[in-house]
Amino acid sequence: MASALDVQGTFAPSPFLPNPSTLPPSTSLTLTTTGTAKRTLIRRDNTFSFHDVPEGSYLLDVQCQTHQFAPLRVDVNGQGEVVVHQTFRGNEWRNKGEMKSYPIEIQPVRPIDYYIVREGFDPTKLLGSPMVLIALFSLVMIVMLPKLMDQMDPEFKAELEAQQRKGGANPVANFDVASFLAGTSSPAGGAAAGGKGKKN
Amino acid sequence: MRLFSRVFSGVLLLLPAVRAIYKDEAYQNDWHLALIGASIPSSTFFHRPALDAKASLIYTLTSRSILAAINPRDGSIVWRHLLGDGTSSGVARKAEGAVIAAVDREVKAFDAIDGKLIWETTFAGRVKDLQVIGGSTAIVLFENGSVTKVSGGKIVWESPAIDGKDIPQSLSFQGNNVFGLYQQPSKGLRIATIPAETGKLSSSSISASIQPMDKIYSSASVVVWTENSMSQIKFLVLGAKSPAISVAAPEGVVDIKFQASGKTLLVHYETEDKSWAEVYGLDQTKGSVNNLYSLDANAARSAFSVTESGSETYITWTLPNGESFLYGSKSADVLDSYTSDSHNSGDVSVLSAISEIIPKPEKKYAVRTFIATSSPGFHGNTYLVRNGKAIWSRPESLVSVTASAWVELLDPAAEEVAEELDVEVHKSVVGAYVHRLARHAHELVTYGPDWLASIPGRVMDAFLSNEIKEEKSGKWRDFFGFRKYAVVATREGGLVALDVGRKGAIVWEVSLVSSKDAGQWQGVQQIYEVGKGTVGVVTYGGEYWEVDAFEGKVLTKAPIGGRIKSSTILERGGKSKVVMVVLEGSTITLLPPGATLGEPAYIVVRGDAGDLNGLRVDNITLATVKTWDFVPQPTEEIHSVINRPAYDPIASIGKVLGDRSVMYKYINKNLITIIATNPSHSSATIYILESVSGVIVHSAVHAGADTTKPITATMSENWLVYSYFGAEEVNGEPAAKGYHLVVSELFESRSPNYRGPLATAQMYSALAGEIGRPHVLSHSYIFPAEISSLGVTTTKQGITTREVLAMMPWSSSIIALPKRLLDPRRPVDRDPNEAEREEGLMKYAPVLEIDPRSVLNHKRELLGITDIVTTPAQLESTSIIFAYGGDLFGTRVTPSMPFDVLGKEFSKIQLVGTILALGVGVGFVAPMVRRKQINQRWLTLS
Repeated sequence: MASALDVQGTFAPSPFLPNPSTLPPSTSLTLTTTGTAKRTLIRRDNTFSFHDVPEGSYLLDVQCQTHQFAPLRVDVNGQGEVVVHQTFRGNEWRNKGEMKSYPIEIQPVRPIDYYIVREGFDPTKLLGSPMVLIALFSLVMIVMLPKLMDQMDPEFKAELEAQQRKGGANPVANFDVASFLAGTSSPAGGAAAGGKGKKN
Repeated sequence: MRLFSRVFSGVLLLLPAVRAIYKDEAYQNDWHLALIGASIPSSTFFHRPALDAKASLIYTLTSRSILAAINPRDGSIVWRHLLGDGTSSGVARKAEGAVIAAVDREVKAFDAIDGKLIWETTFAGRVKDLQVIGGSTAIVLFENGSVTKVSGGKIVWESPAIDGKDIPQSLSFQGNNVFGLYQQPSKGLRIATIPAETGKLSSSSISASIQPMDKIYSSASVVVWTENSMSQIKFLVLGAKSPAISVAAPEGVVDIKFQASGKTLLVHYETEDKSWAEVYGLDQTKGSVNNLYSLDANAARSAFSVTESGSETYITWTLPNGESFLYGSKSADVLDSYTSDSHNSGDVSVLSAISEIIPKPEKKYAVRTFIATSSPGFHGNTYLVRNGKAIWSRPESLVSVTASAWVELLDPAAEEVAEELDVEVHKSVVGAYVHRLARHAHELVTYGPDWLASIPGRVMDAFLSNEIKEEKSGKWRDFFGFRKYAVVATREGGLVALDVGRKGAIVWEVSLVSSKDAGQWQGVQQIYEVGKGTVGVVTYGGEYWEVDAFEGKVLTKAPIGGRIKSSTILERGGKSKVVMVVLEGSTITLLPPGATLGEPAYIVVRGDAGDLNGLRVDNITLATVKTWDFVPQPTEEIHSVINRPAYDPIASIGKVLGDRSVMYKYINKNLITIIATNPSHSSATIYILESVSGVIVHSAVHAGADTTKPITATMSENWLVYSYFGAEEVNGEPAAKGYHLVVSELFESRSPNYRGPLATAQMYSALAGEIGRPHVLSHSYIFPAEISSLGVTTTKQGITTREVLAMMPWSSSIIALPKRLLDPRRPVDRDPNEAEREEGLMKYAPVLEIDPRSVLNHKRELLGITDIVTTPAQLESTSIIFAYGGDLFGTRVTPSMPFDVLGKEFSKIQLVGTILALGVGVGFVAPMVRRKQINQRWLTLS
């Protein structure tokens, strides 16, 4: 005759769940193996007990609305012992995980959050985005640069202006494509003189 | 192009990996009817959850084995537990601060306030009755006749049955003694007396000629039974030494019920058209029973309740029309009477009524009565009446929904004009002209000053509430098509339309049975939407009903001519749809009567010998010819047959890979999946079969599959998803123990850009076996939970990716798994290369974790769901979901995000605010710029 005994355990307090009594009453545990599936509910004193579990190797799962729990492997052997191992889903069953103490102590892995909160309009976040930062920087530069120029050494400023007047007109910027293609003007000199005049 | 796609895939990767429920959308888009089923009268009671509690709750155990606590204030469920498989009956009793319930072989005590389990005990035998004898100590009577005392979950004593042939009936507790009541096969009653302390049994028996239809009842102080088929009633006061007292029962009585409380016993008589009661007082010391008063006969199928309140005993009498009367225990004077404001239709019977009575000064009473009713087709609906006013009601009859059909609502833009034009067509020229003039005049009024004046208000509404007020109701659909009716049938024969877009509101109810033929009712086989706004209902008993889906009017009812085996709906071009029914003996009938079959049809039916047959139905004679026969292996049996959803559009015939090559999907609308199981060897075989030719295109054997646990599957497009429980060892090889979720996808060939031998064929015929052979890719995943049923989302065009919906019964929730997650092309044992990444494929991971954000029902708990059905909305992005079988649940999902509708995150106020701010900014800057430009011109000139 196959031996059958009770498998017991408690929900232990943990950082994620300081008070296991807050778990909903529908929190249930299942002990499954081929051919059988036993189910029980969490008790008022935060314990649980599976009655008359026959000899075998079981997967213990916890279904809970508020917290996630890791699966456990529970072996009930012929000597009337219950051996508990940590297990991982998809693990080969003969690979046992870390051995756990018995009676089983169950702690949640993480609390469950069903929802994502919609991100609303947040001015600080908007200011943090790179696009806005670049825009702001250039805005600041537009305002600040002329002021900077004013504060510069007058001699240096005059020199800069002279330089600009001399070669400042960028030959590429004023390059007249139409006349170049038509061959009416030389690419280097004509453009600087002709650019504006032709358009007007 | 490549650059673009790279950027695009980058954008895709930025999107959240799963579509989740936004906090502000939860409880808005989804709805849930938490149902418990029909209450068991003897296990329903008002009870204070704690000694010092101010208000009491209603506790009830139902025929679905759900123990629930209902708040009598609003009818909401405080807590509930599914105690069995939903098929066995049980008992529930009140205890101090607890409720003790026994279902099948288990006795459980629950905290009355929050429903937490206090203790549970499993016994070898099935429980017949249970009595609480104080604290949380209970005496349990088993079906084998033995009696056990349980205290705090521990067995105190066990007392075996005196005679194994006795049939245990009930258990009473009085003083310090427990009385077990047994019916003896040799026409007698045995009363076993057991002191609650010791469990030492002594018994006595009395002769009684009890017939099968006789009733036996016992309370704490009295045993009552009827003899000779309810012709005589006998009373025996427990604990007294006097013999049984006999009273003749009135003539023509069809049912006698007993109720007792303290020293009052009520005998409730029912005839075909009347019901009344006799009230008796019990004398414990003398052992006598004396008639106190009798009530005059009133309408049949009523219910009485005997309630103790303080030192008084009250009797409430509830009639089927909702009227109720309150009596004291001394005389037949009506203390108070309540007329009802509800107008129940004639065929209602009151199953049970329990009352809570609080006497008020000046002979006033506060009476709350919890009533369970039954009418043809609807069994177990409950409502609460407070001083004659119905406060709330619960549609518990919908717990047994067995079939459903979606009904499209009408498009107001198209239909209204179409109706009007239709009228004009059928009139003379002058008449039509007048009609048109009238119509335009009417439009002038409709879109007149009032309508214009309402525009600002509507615009403001749209701004402020962010929600478009639905203007259309009834049979007109809303703009996005979120509203649809689901017509569902209950097991008892009721037909109900639920507005799935409006939180499951009941639109109409129709009963397909009358009280006369309720006994022969065999259930609804299937419901079909046979035309615009019309549903056709095929019943197993062989009837065909056509019902107006918008109004609930029965249009036609016709006999089919035999018991129904199966049925299907065939589209025959245009609007006409034909329902084909297979009767027993494989004769075929078409519905509605007189319909014709345009061309021969090929159908699949289950054979009588556990096989599956393909039949060709001739289009004229409707004669059937067997075209193929699928016989599973000798040790196997067919577990289930799954086909593709009726509406399953496929947007693209191929799957574009990262390198711009195409894997062509193997698309065949005639594919069916057969699951065959072998219980003795614990294995399951999956066959994909072409149902016209009977060719098996794919099969997979899963050794070590547990056939005692659910094996479910769903098909869509070119793929199949199924789940089973796998053992730890398969043929001596180690395996992963747990639930497996397998996806198989069918392609036309192994290599991309190659369509196989049928690529160049102009046409091909499955009849000639020219169906090609698909290349099947499969992946198996470990899933952390049992799946009891699977569904798949559908959208209007099929462009949106699909999601597989899985009901997980143990965590009472439905999860949506994106098909992309289950892709069988996910690379195994290596990281995806660039092309695969572009496709969105992730590295294969054997375990699928349950992401709580994909749980559609979020914090709601769904019990007993057996089916998940889906239908497209008008928006391509959205699929509407409805789940039934126990609770009813509805929601809508957007598997590829709501790409075609502005979500709630789009703030119109913010948009307008931004525009205004920009406008103000421009207003400031414009003069400055203008001045600068003018200055520039003048200054350069100078």
